[in-house]
Amino acid sequence: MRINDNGGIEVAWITRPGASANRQGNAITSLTSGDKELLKGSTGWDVDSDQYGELASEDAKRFAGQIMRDRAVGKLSGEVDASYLSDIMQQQNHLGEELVPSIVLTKALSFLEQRRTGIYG
Amino acid sequence: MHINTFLASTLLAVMGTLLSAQEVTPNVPLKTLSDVLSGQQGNLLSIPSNAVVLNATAPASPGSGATAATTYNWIKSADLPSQYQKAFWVKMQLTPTAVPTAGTISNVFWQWSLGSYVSGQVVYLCYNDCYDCLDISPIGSGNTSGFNTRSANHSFWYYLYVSGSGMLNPPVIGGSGSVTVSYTY
Repeated sequence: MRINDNGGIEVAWITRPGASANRQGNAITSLTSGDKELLKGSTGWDVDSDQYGELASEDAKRFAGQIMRDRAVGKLSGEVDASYLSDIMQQQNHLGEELVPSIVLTKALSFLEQRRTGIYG
Repeated sequence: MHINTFLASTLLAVMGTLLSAQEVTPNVPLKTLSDVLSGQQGNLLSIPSNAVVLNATAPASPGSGATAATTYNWIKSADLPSQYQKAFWVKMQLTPTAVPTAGTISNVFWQWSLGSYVSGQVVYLCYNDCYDCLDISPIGSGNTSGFNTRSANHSFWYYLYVSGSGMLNPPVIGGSGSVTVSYTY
């Protein structure tokens, strides 16, 4: 956090991989290559070719945002796995509100399973 | 006859005065609201950049003849959700109403408070699809230009989280969050 020239307060971005020149702050965390692979496989979003998600669905960006928020707070340190996705599902069931659309979580679980077994759709 | 002549000449004199007054009036440009707020013309107002100065204002309808962009604000606040468990995210949405899609953000002022503050408390301010978030945990109110140029007619979200594991005892109950989104249109 710092004070900018206008007396405003600058705080850190916790998401948005690769801060662009026209934005303040720095990305302090970003998606791993495994995250990107998962996003591409489960939502179709190719983060490397569409970094800011211009073509990505809202569901895909919600999923990416949740991954990065969890990385930012240290809740997710390794690769996304079935346990992590199940934890999100359980929390959503517990709280009765969606952090990530359930259909995306289901597709992500399916993608992880396919990757684990080497059988792709 | 004399009276009619007098009235006619008086009328002409008055019209002439009005016309000449119109001709000699200097061409003073009209101040836009943004000019006034920024104090760029006339210094009528000097408002600190971190002040909330306007209530939510409906923008002028398109085609009103205005060519310069004008600054408006939308303000929303709501109670923040209670937090009972560590390592659980809770969120709260603030949605604008009647903001044109062409409105672009020029500043965001946030303000939040909680009923109690526990170690490990995290507060994020996220935009629209929750992909862009700022960590505003360190300070309860402030401005950011980080969302500038983005569309003003989308929601902002507060995301709350407490690091650790287990239940919060006592839970964090009470508190509110708000945003004041300044936008040009």
